[in-house]
Amino acid sequence: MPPSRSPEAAAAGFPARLAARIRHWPREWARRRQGPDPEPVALHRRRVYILPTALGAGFGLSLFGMLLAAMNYNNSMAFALTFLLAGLGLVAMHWSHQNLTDSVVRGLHLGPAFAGGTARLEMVLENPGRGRRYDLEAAVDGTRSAPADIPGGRSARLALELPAPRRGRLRLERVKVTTDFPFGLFRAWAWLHPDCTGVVYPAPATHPPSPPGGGPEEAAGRWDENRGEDDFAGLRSFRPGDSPRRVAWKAAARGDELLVKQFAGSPRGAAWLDWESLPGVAPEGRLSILCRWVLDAHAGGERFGLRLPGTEIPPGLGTAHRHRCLAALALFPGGDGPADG
Amino acid sequence: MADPLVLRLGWMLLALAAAVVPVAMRLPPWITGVFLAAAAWRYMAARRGWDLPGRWLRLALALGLVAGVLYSYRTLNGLEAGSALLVAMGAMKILETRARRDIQVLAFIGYFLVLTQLLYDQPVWSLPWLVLTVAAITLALLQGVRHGPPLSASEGMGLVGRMLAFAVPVALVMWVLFPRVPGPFWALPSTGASGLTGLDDEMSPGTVTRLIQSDEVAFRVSFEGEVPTNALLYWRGPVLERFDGITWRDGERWPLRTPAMRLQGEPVRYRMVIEPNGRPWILALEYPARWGDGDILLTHEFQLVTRQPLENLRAIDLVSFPFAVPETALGEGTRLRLTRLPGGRNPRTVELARELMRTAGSDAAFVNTVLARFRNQDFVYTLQPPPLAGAHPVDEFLFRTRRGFCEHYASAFTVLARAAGIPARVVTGYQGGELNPVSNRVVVRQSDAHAWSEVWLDGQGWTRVDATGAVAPNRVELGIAEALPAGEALPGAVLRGVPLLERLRQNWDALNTLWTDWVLGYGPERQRAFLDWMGLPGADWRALVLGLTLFVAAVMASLAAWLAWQSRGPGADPALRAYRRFCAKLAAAGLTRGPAEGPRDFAGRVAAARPELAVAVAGITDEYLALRYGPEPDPARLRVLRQSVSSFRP
Repeated sequence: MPPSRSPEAAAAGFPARLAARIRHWPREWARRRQGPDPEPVALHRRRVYILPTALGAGFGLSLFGMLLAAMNYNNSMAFALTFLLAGLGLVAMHWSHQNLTDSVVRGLHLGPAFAGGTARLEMVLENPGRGRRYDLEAAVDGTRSAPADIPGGRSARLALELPAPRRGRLRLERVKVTTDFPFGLFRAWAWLHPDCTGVVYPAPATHPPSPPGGGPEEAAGRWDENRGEDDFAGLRSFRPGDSPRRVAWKAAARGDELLVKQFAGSPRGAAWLDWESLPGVAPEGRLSILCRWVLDAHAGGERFGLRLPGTEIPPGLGTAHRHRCLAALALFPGGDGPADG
Repeated sequence: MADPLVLRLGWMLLALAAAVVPVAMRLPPWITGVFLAAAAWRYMAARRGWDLPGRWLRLALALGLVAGVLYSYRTLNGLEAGSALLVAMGAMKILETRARRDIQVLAFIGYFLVLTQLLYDQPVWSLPWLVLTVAAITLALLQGVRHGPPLSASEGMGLVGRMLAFAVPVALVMWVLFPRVPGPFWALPSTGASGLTGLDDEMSPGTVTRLIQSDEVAFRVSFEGEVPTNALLYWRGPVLERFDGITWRDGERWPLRTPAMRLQGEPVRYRMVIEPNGRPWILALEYPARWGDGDILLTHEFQLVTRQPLENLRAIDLVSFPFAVPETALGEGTRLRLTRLPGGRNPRTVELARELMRTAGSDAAFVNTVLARFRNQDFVYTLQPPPLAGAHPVDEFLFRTRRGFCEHYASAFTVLARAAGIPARVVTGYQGGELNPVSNRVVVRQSDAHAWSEVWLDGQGWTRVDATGAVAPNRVELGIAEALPAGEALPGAVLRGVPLLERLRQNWDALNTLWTDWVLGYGPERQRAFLDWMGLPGADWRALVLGLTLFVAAVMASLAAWLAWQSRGPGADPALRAYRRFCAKLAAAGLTRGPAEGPRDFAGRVAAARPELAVAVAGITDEYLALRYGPEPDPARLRVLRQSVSSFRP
């Protein structure tokens, strides 16, 4: 597979491109060597790489200077100091490597994002061993998670926010799990190549026109109390004017937020958000406006459907419906994909 | 919880304090003051959230500190000024410490502070100090570079302790096997071990007396075989040939070209570990014949010298012949030079010498006459001679005060001999030494410093004449402490009077001897000796590097195994392991358990195929199921299961 170069790298000078290529090569080598990773991924010894950091290189140089001083002055104690530090360095290298080796990654999940925002990548890192592991981080292209310490037999959740610049599918090429524990002299890392994609919705328009045939505002807060309770569609936040009968008291008792039941059978507010109702707007602009309408309709508890060229999503309610509509916008013109986000 | 930066800084400041304490003893107080002030200020700033000084202020401070060091030492070179500069830079770094990287730099400064201290001085306590300080700095580094919150003290110490448990064997192996090469490769700045006590290359009344006041060890000697008697222990130092009437000075030194020594008598083999004295003298036992160090040469005065002053401890193996006769011929020029006296000085002494020579008749008889004179007249051996201030100090000593120390007697005798026309010179060095019964080594201290004369007797060559021995025979036979009159004591003599303290002192000294001999003196020779002892004679550096690599790899492999054991799970249940062994035995007999086959189904199948095994298989299966799925596994049943699996023969 050829390296997919970002426009920034292409615009940069030759040294930067060369550096990018040099960085790229070992990653591709690791990918070919390891293949794709079905979960859970155990980070075996053979896939944990390690190199000294800049600090580690400085440490090595210092040790060399100390060794020269010890040899020149023929000073036994200077030899002792140099060799003790060298021993510590070697031990640190093994420690760093083993701090990562044999841990297990599972539950990789890339959440949805709006274009220009960030997508949240979550994963669970397990420590199946007896000893504690320290300062483990996940990283994707320079974005790092907060470091986690994992006691023996336990697991930790690592999360990081990935930039999602463009609408569409966000494919996770590789994830790095890394540590420079104990002294920052060495950095050990492992590449993961999970089969993991996320959806990037269009950026919602900031000043959208009103949807045709009555916006969600007109329908908001008015519910027929006697009809349409046959089809439970989900929960939404309580807003003033909601009937106490619709409040989901059990769910409310669990959390601190007051939630209201929504039903798909509600007769009012069934609006069609239609691509064709925005003539004269560029396709990306239309997607942006439709995205905003979907968000508003969902926030308003509105039943809504979405019509795109080649795709029609019948009216519905709830978070799953919202995601389905937004994913259809994200992947347009690719139809409403299986939107697994 | 406190702010992590405060904790991190606190750890590093404590560790640096441990590194600075011994260094601070030899620094000007103001540098230590600056360091303490910077540490205290930075710690308070972190607690109270004060702003750190700006870049220009820091730059000005740094320049000021460099100027201060330059003013104190007149140089930035050398170990002394270097460590002062290192401490000053550490103080500056503390002031600007904000991030991980600064803490890392501080840790490196700490390691280098330890190095400078070790280059300066290596007493016995420096080894535990080295390990503890490195552990402290490493712990502070661990805390400082942590991404997460700082570890608890016990957890951090546990981690560093476990790391050291593997690092120390590695260090030990490297220390023993790393190929040691003799000599410096290039002239480094002197370690600046200034203020070292030791023999000078000149002698006037009072110089040796001052040296006697020091209880410091000059060198230690371990003899191969019997320790020679005290009267034979003349440790030869600078030979002084030029006399100006008051002071004896060293002439030129050139290497002895021809082997001008008649070796006779029993050789004495020994090893000297010489403390740094800032001078090139090797104080060999008279007369050195062989030495295992190419850097050392024998001068025409039979003195061993090195090319470089002794800035560090030096261990040398030597062979001496106490009964050798040096130099069998004396050139006319040399004879003239060694009978020369400054004109107009000490006229009464010259007069006396001529008179004595007339009555004695021969050179040898003259020597005996003078010694008899010292012995029989009222000459006194004392540490507190009256001062000789005039222009004719030898006259003053011989005819007026008659109270003196070895340098007075050696000087007076040599002047007398020269006045009588006998080639003579003064030899300084050490005489005697203390045999430590614990270590069986002789310790020679500065207080054993001595001066004697050498005269040239035709037919005998250079002959040692110790005029002090005529006045105080005990000085030569028993050592200086016994020779001094009552009421005069050497430093440390009070301690030597108490038996318990004396034993403690001897043990401490034996420890020091072992330390200097085996740890500090572990150089190319010792390494070779150690390898011979290990049964690897003649191992070259390639063999050493190979051995080193193998040993270090072995330690690292054990570390890797231990770490892997730590990071793997607790492993399979023992009952499951036993059952797997059982299944493996059956598989070998052609009965393989299917992947989805339960133990009972499998037992049934085995019983059908091999009815003779049915009982054993049913028993093992029942035990296994009970242990695996029953309540509270019983260790006794586990033993039964293991035994029946072991004895199971399908």
